[in-house]
Amino acid sequence: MTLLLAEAGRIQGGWNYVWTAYGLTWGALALYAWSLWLRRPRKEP
Amino acid sequence: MTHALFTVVGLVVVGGGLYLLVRGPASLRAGVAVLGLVLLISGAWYGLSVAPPDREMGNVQRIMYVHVPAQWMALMAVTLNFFCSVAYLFRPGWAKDALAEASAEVGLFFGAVGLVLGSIWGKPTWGVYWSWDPRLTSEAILLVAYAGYLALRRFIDDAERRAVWSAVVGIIIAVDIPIIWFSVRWWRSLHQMQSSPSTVDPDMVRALRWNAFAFLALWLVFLSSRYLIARARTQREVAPPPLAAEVAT
Repeated sequence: MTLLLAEAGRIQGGWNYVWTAYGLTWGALALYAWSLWLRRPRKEP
Repeated sequence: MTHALFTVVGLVVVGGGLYLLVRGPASLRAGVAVLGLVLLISGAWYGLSVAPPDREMGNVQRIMYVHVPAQWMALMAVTLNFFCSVAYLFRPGWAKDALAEASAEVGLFFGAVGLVLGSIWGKPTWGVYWSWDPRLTSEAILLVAYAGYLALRRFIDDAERRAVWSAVVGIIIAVDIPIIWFSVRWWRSLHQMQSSPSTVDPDMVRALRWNAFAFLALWLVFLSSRYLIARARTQREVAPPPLAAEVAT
């Protein structure tokens, strides 16, 4: 049991939190990159 | 000695990279963005499948590979904002003002992402999404202050007055930066202290550094792109384009 805990950690599972965090990171980075693209300076005609 | 050397090399790489991205063609920024994306995807693979679970936190610890780099990028950006603000007051220049604006927004972005990620990590680890811990509170204050800083920049129409006022506000806000960094040592509260690479699994250190480089590449692209937006706006304000009637005559 102790060995199992050492391999998997005291907190069991938690993948839903991990995926939420990574998904949110990727989403936020993509959205911010998009906002910069939309605001990019354009040359005067 | 090694730390000092790494710091100097890091500053040269970051400063030089930023200079090249601002002065160079758009294709260079696109190239660094692609590099950042490749590092981000491969870093996620390493952090999610190669690095081992933590002895105490299990798989939830993997959130650190994105939370910590996000906070590092935020602190780097706001520190840059402080130096730009001081430099502007000593010797005014539109480039410094534009870089201050860019670093404030990029710092606010990464700080907000880092705070939310920390909150997601906090629920399974601490049992709560939020605690009025000194580290979390000082970070939240910083984000609110930078939101105010950016709002202030929008309210002031005169470019010169805006630059001076925001430089002063930027310096005042910066008082919070060392408080955030040292809060975990001064108050020894719920938030853990900075860990050392010598006390964790080498695969964990590798995953963290891999993701940190991915974030750094994106940080450089975001900062240089936002700088160009701010610079273009100031140029329009300070030297407005001639009227159509003037061009015709």
